[in-house]
Amino acid sequence: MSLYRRIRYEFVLECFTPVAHAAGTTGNHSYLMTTKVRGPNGWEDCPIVSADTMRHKLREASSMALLDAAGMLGAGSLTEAALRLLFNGGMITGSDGGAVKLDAYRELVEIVPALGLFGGCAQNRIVPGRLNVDDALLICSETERYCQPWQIAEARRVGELDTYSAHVEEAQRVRMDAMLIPAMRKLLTDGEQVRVVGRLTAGEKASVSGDAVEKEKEKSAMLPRTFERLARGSLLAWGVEAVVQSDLDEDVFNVAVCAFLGHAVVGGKSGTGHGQLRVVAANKIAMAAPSREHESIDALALGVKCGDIFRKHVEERKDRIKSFFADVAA
Amino acid sequence: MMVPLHIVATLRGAIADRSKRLMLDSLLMAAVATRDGLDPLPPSHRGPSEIDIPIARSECGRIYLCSQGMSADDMHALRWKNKRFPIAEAQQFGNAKLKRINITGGPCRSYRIPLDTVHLQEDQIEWWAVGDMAAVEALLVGWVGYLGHRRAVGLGRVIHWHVEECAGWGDGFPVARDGQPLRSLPADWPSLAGDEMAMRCLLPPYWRRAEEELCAVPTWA
Repeated sequence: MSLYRRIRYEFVLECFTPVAHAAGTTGNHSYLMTTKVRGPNGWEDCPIVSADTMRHKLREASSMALLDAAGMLGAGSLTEAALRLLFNGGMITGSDGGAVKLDAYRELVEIVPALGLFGGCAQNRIVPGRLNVDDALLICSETERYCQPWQIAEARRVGELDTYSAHVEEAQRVRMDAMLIPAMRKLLTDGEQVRVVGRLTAGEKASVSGDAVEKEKEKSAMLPRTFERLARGSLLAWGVEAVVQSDLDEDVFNVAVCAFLGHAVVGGKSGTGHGQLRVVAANKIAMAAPSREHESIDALALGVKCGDIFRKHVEERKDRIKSFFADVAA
Repeated sequence: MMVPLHIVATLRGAIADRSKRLMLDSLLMAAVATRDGLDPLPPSHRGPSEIDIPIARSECGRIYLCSQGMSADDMHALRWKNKRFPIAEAQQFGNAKLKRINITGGPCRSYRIPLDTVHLQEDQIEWWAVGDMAAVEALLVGWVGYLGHRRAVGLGRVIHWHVEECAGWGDGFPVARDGQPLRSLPADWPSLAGDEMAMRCLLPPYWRRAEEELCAVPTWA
């Protein structure tokens, strides 16, 4: 019987606010991150929140939980290397470049067990992590065959599955040019007022005369832009699994998942209320059993139950963690 | 009991293009290493791995009797690996010495690296082998959830393993069919009709470039 266990959590997540997880921009338009899916009518590009994002958010949440438990939140005591190690997993700095030594890496995993799950860089080699994360895939008629039956059943409780395009909306926002508002212009110094009014007048004249070059030169800084986003209420199927070695490891895994899902914000425009996710349903699956038995769990209650072992572990090593992060090279 | 096996992995989506020809023996060794918590082999490692797997060796002992992963491409898709230094966190938690971050060069440099991924026909990869069916199934189902490169971010996710006993095709099973190798084979392997040769390792780990030898290889290799 192996001491190791492979644990998998699967979720149905709801976009509590619209999600603007963009892949790129064309002109003033940003378009959603998608993945190719073999749908019933051929290949489709269906929206996702990429696994890279979800994994990074897990790492970020677990690092914050660690800093919190060690009393280092807001302490302003982290070096550049420690930041890179905690939030990027470190990097290879060369065998003789003051890198993390392998024994130092083992010490690191002992005092900061989350890095054992997420992986990191030691000396001039990569030590693989034990955490695998899926894309959060939009649940729709095109992706039905890629979701678990219970995830589809959960989505059908809300309504019939729609096509992915029904979940994508286009929004437009405008960055206002304060110089166009007379009340704002009055706040300018006298000299600036003359300059700005002169520019606006020149722009208007160029517009009337059809002088495109002059108009371009004097145009306002107002920026209308459009972006695609996943509509509020869209459901996502997501899974994350880890190979855990001990009760502490499992607790660290639970803390990472709960810390992330307790306040999950993904994608861009979070400053304007985008990207909030919440858990609708969750399942825990013991993967070592070929039967893949599902155990329905209350993800929010999981957050209450877990973390005791992790916090005790960190509390006992608080000073070692601080001194380690003061010296680490990664 | 060692019997002829047909193994099929059904994927949830794309797999890294470079990972679609995975060797079954190395996959099973990785599963055993994960199950038993073995440390990764160091880069300086020489010689084949000593991990015991439930796959039969050839009579000569030079190879495990299993094929490469076999599949056909359906649709390629490009994705990107991004890295950005955590600037917001640096502003919040950085110490007094942390005054300037160079994100265009050096250790904090941001990058965006392309990665070719592929969706396979029927979303399936299949292998042929001679091995212990129950033990192979237990290792694959219990410990292999993702295949290949970038599996930590969801590539190569396996949603179903199917392991069945099969009849085989007689001469050459499971490493050659109609004289064509289905994996890297010693150059003097009997009854080979193909003439594709390349430098390869015959036993895992297959990344030991310094120990490669001239082998007969499949035409897709």
